[in-house]
Amino acid sequence: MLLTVENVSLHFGKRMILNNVSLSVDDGKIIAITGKSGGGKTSLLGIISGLLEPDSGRVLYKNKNILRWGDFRRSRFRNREIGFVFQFFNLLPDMTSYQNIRYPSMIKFIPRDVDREIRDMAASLNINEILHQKPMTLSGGERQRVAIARAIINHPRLILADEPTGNLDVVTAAEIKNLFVRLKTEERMAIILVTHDKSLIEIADEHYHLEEGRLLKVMHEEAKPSVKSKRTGVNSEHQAKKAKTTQAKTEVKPMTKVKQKR
Amino acid sequence: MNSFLYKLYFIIKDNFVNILRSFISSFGILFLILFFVIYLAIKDSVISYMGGALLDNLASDEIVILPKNAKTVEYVKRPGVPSIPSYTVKQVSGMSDFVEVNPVSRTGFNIRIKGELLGKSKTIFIPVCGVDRKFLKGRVPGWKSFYNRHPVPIIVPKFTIDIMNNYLSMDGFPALTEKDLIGFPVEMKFVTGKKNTPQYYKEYFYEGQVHSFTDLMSFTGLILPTDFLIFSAEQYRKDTGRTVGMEYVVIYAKVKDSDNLPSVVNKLKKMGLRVESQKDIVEKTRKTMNLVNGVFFAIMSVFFIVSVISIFNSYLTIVYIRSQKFSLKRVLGFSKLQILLSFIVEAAFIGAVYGVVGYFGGNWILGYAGDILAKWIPVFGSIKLQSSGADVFIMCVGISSSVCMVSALFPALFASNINLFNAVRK
Repeated sequence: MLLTVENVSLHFGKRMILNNVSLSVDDGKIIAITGKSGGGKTSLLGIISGLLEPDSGRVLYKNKNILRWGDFRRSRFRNREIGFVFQFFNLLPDMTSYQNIRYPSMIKFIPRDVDREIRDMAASLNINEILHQKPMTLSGGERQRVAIARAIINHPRLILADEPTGNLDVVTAAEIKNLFVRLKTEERMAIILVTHDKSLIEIADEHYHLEEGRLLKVMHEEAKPSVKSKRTGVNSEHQAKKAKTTQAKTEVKPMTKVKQKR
Repeated sequence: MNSFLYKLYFIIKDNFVNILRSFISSFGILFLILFFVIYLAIKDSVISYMGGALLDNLASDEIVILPKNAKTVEYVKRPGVPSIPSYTVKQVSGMSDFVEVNPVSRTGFNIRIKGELLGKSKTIFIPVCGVDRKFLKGRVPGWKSFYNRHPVPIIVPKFTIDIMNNYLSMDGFPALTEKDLIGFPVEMKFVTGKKNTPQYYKEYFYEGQVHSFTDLMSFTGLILPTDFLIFSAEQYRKDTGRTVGMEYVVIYAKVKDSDNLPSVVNKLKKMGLRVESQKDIVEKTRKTMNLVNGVFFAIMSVFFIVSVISIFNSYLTIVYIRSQKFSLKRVLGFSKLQILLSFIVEAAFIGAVYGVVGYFGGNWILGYAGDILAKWIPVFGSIKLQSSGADVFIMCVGISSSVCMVSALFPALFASNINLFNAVRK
C-alpha cells in the first residue's frame, strides 16, 4: 500500500475536525473525498502531507510513519513524493509559467535535464505556447494545467488535489478531469481528490464522504461497472459521459462497517 | 542556460525580487550605523585628547608635579597664576625617589615671533616654555642639538601647527606641513617692562629655527631650551639690574619604583605641590568617557530601538504580504529552516549594505564636519575626527547585519510557522 491513514483524529479547540479517520491509497488509484465546507477535508490533506500534526493516529507512506519524521524529512517527502493541486492554482505571480513549473525541481537537487522535461510536459499538457507568460495573463484552465505540471515535475507518486475544478467552467473542468485520468493510467500516480464536482467523483476508484469528522465510504451502485470497465480498457471520455448521464444512487456507510463487510 | 547558473539566477530572483521594499523599510539602521561611526570617532578623539594631547602621555612610573592651586599648566606669566619656586624644584631634584626630574619653565618676557613666507611677513604673540634637552632624550629626534645656540632651536608642539596655519591662512599663506616647517627661520622678539619706564623696558631680538615637532607637551606655544631662557633673563638682569621672573610651572618626574608611588605623592603633597599620575589621568579620562559614553549610548539606544521596531514591523508586514508565497514554498517542499534562512539572509544582506553605506557616510560626515569645525574653532583642527580602518568597517557591517537579522528573526519564525492551508487557500 502506498499510503495508509490510521485512526487519525484532530481537534481545533473544542471542535472535532477528524474523528478516528482511516484511509488507504494504492498506486494508480483515484480517491475522491467529499464533504461540507469546513468539514476537515483540507485538514486531512494537510495531515497526509505532513503539514498538519494530528492529535492521534498514524500516516504510513510506504509503511513508514511520516508523523515521526522531522521537518526537514517531511519537507523532502512533500517535494519528492507529493504533488499539490489547488482550487485557486497558487502560482507565483512574479514568475513565468516555466519558472513556476520548475520551482519544485529547484529544491530537489538531483542533476537532470529539467528543461527538456518541462518542454515535453508542456507539449503533452498543451501549454507550450504560454510557458513564458506570467499567470496573470492566463485563463483558469491554463493556470490549472501549469499548476498540474508543477505538481508532477518531480514525478511524485501521490497527487493531493484540493477542489481542482472548483474555479473552472464545465469544459475546462472536463479537460482537467481527463488529465487526472491520464496521470493515473499513464504515470500510475495515486490521486486524492477533495472535491464537490460530481464528474470528478465519477473517475474515482473509491469515494469517501467526510461528515462530522468521520470518513464514510460511499458505495455507488451505478459506478461499480464503470470502475470495472476501466480495468478492461474502456476510455475515460466514455466513462465520463456515462457517469454524467447516470444518476448515482449512494449508500453511506462508515469506513469501519465497510471493512467489516469486506 | 547552464543549470547551475539558472539555479543561482532563480535563487536570487526568488529571494531578492521584493528586496527593494525591505531596503526601504530597513532604512533606520543607516542612522544607527552613522551615529555609531561618529561615536567611535569622537570617543577616540576624546581619549586621545584627554590622555595624550591635553594631559600628555605618561608612563606608569611618570608623574606630573604642579603648583598646589594650579588646575592646568599655565605657560603665560600673569598676576595670580601659581608657579613652583626654584628652591622647591631643587628640593624635588634632590629627592632619591626619582630617576629623572624635568622641570618646565616659563619666562616673564612677552614673546612675539615673526616669520616670512613668499615675501610676506607675519608677527604673532606666542607663549613659550623652556625644557632641558635631557627631558627630550628618546622622545624627540635630534634632542642632543636642543640647547642655547644660534639660531635658537625651537620645538613646535603638534597642537600648535594647526593654529599657526590658521593664522597664516588668514593672510593668504598656504598651509605648512611638518616637513615644510623643519628648519623654518623665525625672528623672536622678547619684550618686558613698560614703555613709560624706559630704563626697564627692553626688547631683544633672537634668530630662531624650527628644530622639530612633538606631541609630548601640548599647548599652543613653542618650546625653547631652558638654558636659552636663563641666558635671556640673565641678559636683562645685566642690562637693568632687575629680574625678568623665570618660573617653573610643571615638573615631569620619573619615580624609581612605581610601587613606591603613593608615598612619593604624599611627600610631594606635604611640600605644597599637586601631583597627577597616570592613574589620575586615566581616572579623569574614564570619567569624561563615562559621560561621553552615557550620552552616546542613550542616543544610540533610541536609534537601536527605533531601528529594531521599524525593521521588525516592516518584516512582519512583508511576511503578511508574502504569506501565501511562504506557505506555497512550504507545501512545495521548503523546510522551516530554509524559509527562516531566506529571511535571515535577506536581512543580513540589507544590513551589510547599510553597514557599508553607514561606514563611508559616517566618515564623510566626520571629514566634512571636521573641516568646518577647524575653520570655526582652530583648536579643533588638531583633533582628528576619523573612524576608519578594517576593524571599524567590520564592526559596522557586523552590527548592522546583526541588528537586521535579530529584527527579522521573529517575523521569519512567524513566516516559517505560518498556517499553511489557510494561506494557500486564499
